[in-house]
Amino acid sequence: VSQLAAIVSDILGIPLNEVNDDVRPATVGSWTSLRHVQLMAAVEETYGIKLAARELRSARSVGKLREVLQNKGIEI
Amino acid sequence: MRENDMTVMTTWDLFDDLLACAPEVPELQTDECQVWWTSLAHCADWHTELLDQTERLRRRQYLRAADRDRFTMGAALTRLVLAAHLGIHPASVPLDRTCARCGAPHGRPCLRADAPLDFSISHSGDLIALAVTRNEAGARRAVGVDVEQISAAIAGEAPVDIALSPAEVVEFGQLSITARPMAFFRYWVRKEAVLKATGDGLRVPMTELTLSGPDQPPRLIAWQGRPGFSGSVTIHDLEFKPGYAAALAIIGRDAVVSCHDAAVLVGMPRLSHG
Repeated sequence: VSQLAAIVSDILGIPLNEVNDDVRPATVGSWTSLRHVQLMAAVEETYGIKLAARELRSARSVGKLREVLQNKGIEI
Repeated sequence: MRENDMTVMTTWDLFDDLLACAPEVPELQTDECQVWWTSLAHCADWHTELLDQTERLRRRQYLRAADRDRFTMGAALTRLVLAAHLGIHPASVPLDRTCARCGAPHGRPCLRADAPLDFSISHSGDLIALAVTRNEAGARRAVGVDVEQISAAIAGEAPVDIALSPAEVVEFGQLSITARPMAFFRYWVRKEAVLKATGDGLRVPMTELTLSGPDQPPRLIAWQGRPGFSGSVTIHDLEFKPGYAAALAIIGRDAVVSCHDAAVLVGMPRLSHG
């Protein structure tokens, strides 16, 4: 289980086995703008990185968030 | 097609009853902003019949029943209140959810640009709130409303750096630990309400807005990159029930805020089928 999936599961309040690339605000209602900010903050802290405003906005699904991290050299 | 036809018939059968409920919605005065709120517990099967095709598709995308209900309740409340003000059937309210950036139907719901109303919807936990005001010649306005269930876990963590401006971070740091959750959520809902009213949403970093302190009357003090904007927005704190923070932002001429419990409007038990 990836750290990222654990973070998503914890912050959105969904079971770990339901976390996949397609999890996004349109499929999981708890992914609100506040949870989004919380999610980004947790990712920054966990991976010791700083996300640019553009990256914060574009990571609107677990798949996209994974891409953002991969572009920073972090393999999930 | 057959399913659509049946839906329309069922919906129109409700029309007389719905019109009979219109007195539940007082006339919207020129300088008024009505805020309607309700609870997720009121969600009923007939609310789904008020949704259009786009909304039904969006509803189905949610994986959990509670998320589907929350979306349905928000859309139904919007349609019931706007229909009363526009004098049309709730299912006929022309809501457009097209995203301005990508064209997908997940954008902020709005009426046509020439509609005489502006509105904003928000939900969190089991609370749903809708703000509606006049937006017409002589009273041009845009509104944004935000509600959030207060959670102590969030306010103590790093979101503070993403949501608050440097000046606010200093002020926040001087607060006692126990005062921080409420303070954080005050900042959050006030900023979110402003960004919803302007239509910016998350595209604008919240750190660019500096507000008055959480215990002071809400006021936009500065917006980095938009000098002079502060004067055109007014912010009102809203109180619905304990455990929630809520705020309303009005751009344009300020309005008198009236709060309405929508329990009867969305309840209407005589309309529940079966």
